[in-house]
Amino acid sequence: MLLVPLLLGGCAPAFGPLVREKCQNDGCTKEQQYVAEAYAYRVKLTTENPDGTFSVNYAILPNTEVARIVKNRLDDLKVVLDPKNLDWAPFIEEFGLRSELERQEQIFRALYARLRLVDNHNNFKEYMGERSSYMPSDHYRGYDASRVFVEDVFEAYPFSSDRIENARASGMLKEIERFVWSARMELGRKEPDPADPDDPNKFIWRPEEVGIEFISYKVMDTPNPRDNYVDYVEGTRLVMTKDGPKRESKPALKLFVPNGGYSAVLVIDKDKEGEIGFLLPDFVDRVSRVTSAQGLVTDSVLSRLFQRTEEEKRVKPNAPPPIVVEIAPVGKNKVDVWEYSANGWTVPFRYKTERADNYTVSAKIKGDDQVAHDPTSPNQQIEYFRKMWNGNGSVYENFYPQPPYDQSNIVRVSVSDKRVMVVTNTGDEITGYVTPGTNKFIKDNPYSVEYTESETRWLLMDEDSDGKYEKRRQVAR
Amino acid sequence: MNLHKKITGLISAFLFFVFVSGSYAQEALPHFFPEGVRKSSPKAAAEQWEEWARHANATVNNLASEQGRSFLIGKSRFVERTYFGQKVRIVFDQHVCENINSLTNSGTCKNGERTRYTSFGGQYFITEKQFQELVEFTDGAIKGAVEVDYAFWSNLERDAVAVASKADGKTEKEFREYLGRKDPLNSSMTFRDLRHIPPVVERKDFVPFRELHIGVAPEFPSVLGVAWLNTGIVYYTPVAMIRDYLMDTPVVLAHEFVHTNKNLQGMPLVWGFDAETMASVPDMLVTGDYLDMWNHSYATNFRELIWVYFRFDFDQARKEVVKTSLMGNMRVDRAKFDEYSQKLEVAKAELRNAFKRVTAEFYSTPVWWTALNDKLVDDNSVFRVMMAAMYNPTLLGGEEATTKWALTNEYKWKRWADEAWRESGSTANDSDAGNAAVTEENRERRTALLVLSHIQSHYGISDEDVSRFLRFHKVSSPEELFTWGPDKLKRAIEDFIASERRERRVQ
Repeated sequence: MLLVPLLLGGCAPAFGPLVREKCQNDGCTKEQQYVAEAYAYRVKLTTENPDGTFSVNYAILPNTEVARIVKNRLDDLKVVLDPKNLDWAPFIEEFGLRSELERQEQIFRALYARLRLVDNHNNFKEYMGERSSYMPSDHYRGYDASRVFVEDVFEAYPFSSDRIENARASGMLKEIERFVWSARMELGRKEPDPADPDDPNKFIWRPEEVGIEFISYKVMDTPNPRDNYVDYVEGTRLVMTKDGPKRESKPALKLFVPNGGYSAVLVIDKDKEGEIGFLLPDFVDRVSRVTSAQGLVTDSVLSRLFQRTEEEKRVKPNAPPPIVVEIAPVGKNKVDVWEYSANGWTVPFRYKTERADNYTVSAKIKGDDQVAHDPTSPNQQIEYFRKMWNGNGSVYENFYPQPPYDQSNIVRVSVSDKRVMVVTNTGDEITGYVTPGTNKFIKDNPYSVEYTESETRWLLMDEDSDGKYEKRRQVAR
Repeated sequence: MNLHKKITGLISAFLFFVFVSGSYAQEALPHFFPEGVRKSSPKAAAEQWEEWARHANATVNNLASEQGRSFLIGKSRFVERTYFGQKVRIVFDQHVCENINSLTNSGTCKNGERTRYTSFGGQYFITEKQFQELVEFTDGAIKGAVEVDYAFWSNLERDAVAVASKADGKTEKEFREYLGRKDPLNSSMTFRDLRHIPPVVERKDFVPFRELHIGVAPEFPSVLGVAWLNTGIVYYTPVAMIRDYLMDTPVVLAHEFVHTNKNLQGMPLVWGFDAETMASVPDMLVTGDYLDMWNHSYATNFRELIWVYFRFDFDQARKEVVKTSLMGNMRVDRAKFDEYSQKLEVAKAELRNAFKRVTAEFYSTPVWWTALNDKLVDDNSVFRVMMAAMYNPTLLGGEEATTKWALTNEYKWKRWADEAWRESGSTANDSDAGNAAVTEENRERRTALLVLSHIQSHYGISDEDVSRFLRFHKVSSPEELFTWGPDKLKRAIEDFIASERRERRVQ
């Protein structure tokens, strides 16, 4: 798994060899190629100082590139800290490295949030029309540590609009819409079963409850505006506590709708209060004009607002059960898989129509599932007839055959829908129908019934033919 | 195996290498040293080479074996010592009590039982005096290794802060105060944490905080030392111990101690740069080491820099020194080797000095450098960029001739630099290729060659080895190799290396 990044890393063309290759293609000797490479580093990655020395030109690398590498490290940590990672998890546990690596993860996350902040603020200024599109983007897109590691990020990187702030200051920004969207999902998220997180077929469901309060504002210089379109929206996540919903302290969503029909600018912070990155926007997008906050209740917005953190995704396996040795000689112990009921089990739903004819029929020959079975034998015996009900729960009713169809003298049985044809070894061909109710082919009551309820298939058994199913068990679907 | 890719830093011994700077007192030698081991005379490079070859051959079967089985940890004799305030348990892996369960909590044997020593060559008892001599010898090596590292790295924080404060436009005083302040957004971390500027380097940081094992590595017999990153565990093999003694400086141990210093090589930052090259500063540059710089794979980049900037031509020098090899018996010009090794000492001293600025640059903004590594596809970019900032190349017959060529061709290399910048890195936009088909073919080939070169450097194998490997697998072009998938490729390479080693031993 870790060799792959090594190889992929090598797949990208490298700067130094590229320069040498170009020089070689131009006729340079090997020595000249290395000289060209040396000067290439100097010209691309340094700037000359007045005293003739050279300093590193950090801005040559776009801020986004640095952010990408930090994201790569976070992805590496995600892999390494995954308790299911068979290479790393035992190593991390043995040497107690989890807490220090998780701390590094926090630091890298905080760093990533700052790097993204710088880029997102640049995008915001551009989308809000506050920066000339003629200005070369590398003028402000290059990495600058003094901009990334500012102490007051809110002063340095305000995600606000002069128009809205001026209107707020002059009292013209009026609330015109307020609503809460919330949802409780019992099957909120599917997670690996901590008892065995490696098995994708073992999982648990955790409920989720999310909510957000939207408040929309309009700049109003008259009490009777021409339309009710919003100019600015704030969305604040609701945290569901045992005492009811509680608002986060600051909005996680802001929508700026410009005057004059341009695209609106949507700013979303995915991080919840208390998490690293809270209040530092993660997404800044242009969106088509929105006239009401209700238009923001979309999958793409909600999925960004309510993301799962890495910690939430990281399911630590439970301690495995103690290792034992258990020896089970065949026949020594009887394992009873049945559940018993004195009153009898029933199928818990209706599956027959009023005329009770919504079934087809099949027949089972005794021993036909054995390797030694001879299908040409003239002494075959019908084990049971089955009614397969077309309706709820895929119900099967299994009936013992009535005499004389229960004898070992059958040459052939064929069934089509409800029609049965039996050939005996005396040459008789008997045909007929398995009709609803009493019938010549089958006993009156099924000796067993199978049905599916939700995700479980059940088998009910009536062993004493009293019409009550005194025991049941689950069977494979 | 994969685990080792990112959690260990190791120094491997496919090649010969040596050092000298005078760390070892004339003390009793550990019992597993071959008879007659002796340090070479100062400045006697060829003698050093010869002694190393003799020592390596004398120990190759007993102390490093391809057939070795895994040992179990936990019952070996140990001592606990404190170095510069850092406690460490020193475990002597191949030394157990006569009865393996007689080990006491203090690492001694109950009832005065003898100590049993196991190597790949056999097993014998040693006296308590012999054991204590080994302990004291190890003690000297630890202290020496810490000093080697500390002498180079001790001013790192001061220098890195100076670079970073200048880049931020702050005075050092202002910058230091700022570094110590908590991030207002995350009170659990400071700006120093966020910027990954290491704290003041102390001697104790180089001491493995958990265990130092004096033991072999049966799975990797060529390994001399290995450090498991972040764990405070270092292995220092007996072969390395003898080798370091020969060179009179615990170079291997010093190398591993850099890996074990979490402030310099902690995960995950270490995943973004070449930890081996960085840990080879300063050990490959120690005065009096006449062999590493010639051959060790970790010094590959240093050799290139010395050639480009200081004009020392290794290829030519090698040709002049090694006349021929008679099936492993080399006819060499000892005088020339001595002479060139002394010349190299000048280059190494300059490099060592320059690397103080290089490392200060790196640690002033390490995350940025890892991003640049990715862009340039070069995990050692800081060395190349900073050397280009500090020195003029000289390899075209001197500074003047080289500078003249560079000025004459300035417009060309500027264009090549611009083009290479656009094309390099995993995010390069290469949609502007003129002839898509031809470019795609070239790109595939280039990519394959790059991966091969990466593999070569990773496994420390030569061009000739690669050619043999390709011939062995009847692979006509490197591109073909990469249709195999990483697992098959890795397995094939490791099998090939193992079989080559076996073959060499048979010869």
